[in-house]
Amino acid sequence: MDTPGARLNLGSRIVGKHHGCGAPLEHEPAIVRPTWNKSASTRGLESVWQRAATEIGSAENIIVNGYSFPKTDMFFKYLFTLGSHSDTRLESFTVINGPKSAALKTQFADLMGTHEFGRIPTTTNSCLRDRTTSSRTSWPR
Amino acid sequence: MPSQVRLCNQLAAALAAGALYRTKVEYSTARNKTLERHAMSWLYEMRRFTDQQSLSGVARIVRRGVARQAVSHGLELCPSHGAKKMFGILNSNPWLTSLLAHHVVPRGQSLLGNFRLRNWASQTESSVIGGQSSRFIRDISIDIGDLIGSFGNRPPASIAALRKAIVVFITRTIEETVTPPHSASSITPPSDYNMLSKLMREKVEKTAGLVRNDVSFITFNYDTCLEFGLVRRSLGVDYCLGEPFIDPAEERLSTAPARAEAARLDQLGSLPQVQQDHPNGNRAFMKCHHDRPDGYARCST
Repeated sequence: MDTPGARLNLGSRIVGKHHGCGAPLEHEPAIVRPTWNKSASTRGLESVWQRAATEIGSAENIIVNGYSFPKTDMFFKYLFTLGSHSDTRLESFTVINGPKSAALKTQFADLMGTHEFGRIPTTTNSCLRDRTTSSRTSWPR
Repeated sequence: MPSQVRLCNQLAAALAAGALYRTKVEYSTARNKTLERHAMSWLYEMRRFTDQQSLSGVARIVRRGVARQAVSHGLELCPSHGAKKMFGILNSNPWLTSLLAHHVVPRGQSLLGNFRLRNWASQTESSVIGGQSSRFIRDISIDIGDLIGSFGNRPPASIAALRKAIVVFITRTIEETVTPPHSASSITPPSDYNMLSKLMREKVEKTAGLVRNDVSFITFNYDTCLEFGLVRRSLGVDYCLGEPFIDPAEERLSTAPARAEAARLDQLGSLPQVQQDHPNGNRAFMKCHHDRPDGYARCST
């Protein structure tokens, strides 16, 4: 029987912790703030962003779940636009973000180009549970 | 002619003031409407009272004799309609009063601290970008301020401190708001993440030619709930920081001595929980580093 409410306090307790090699951890947690220039606040995480772009480019099926795609998030806009440019053929694109799913799909279509986006089957679901139900028959591969 | 110009200037100023006043009223109306019947509206009332520094409100509350415990905890409550309603409930329910004093109030104070931090940052930001309240816009302004060495009236040296304050704010907010469920021996993922990881596990197992590494999550969340779900379903976690993919099944079969274990822990480099973080202090949850009990730890799946 699970009970709610485990408090982890990971960031507050970082002081005094060590890496496995014995080197002390930075006293400040590495947090990528919601800012215009994520590359400035993510030094040391370049490999993560590179891998994210690679994964977007090589993806055959993309599911966007719970991301509102704010217009001010220029970083993600360019990450997705540049990352999705590849030879891999996208098989499906699904957006799950409540009642705003359809509007979000339009935003992604603008990024990828409406011609390319119009070729692939796209779906919108209001919540993950809908996706879970429908995915029994429609999840690709 | 000069008098006409002066009159025009005065008229323009009056119109501008009127527009500002109207904007302020409309903003207040919209804000109050948004908070109406909101579950956390009582917290907003506390914040508003703190902003106003109205001591008479405290005096009235103390006279009612209802919230003495709350005040003794340093909490100040606004005697507005939301607070009055709460006091009415508390009057007839001593158990709830006790709950408020011992559980809700300390938590509220902690959140209040976050509000103060946010207000502090917001005030500084307002002087620079004209009062836009978006957190994203505020962070942008701080970054640019740090770049050009100017951010309102703040000394340039303190701008970096302001950026760090935002990190602290985010960290504390995560700690206050992300409280995953737990059993006696381990932290479990919230239901949505549990469902997601279960779905993924099923699809991986039932789909020919699909392996775990073929499925990737790019998450912009600050919490670690997704990882809890993936680890629970033995799907492993790779943060793409240069370490190889860690197979939880291999981890469980490992009988390596301490030195080799330490090397593996270096590779793991993930799930930054430590034993004392578990709410029950259960040692079964974490296996701490053999050589450094206070050091790096890993999840015992």
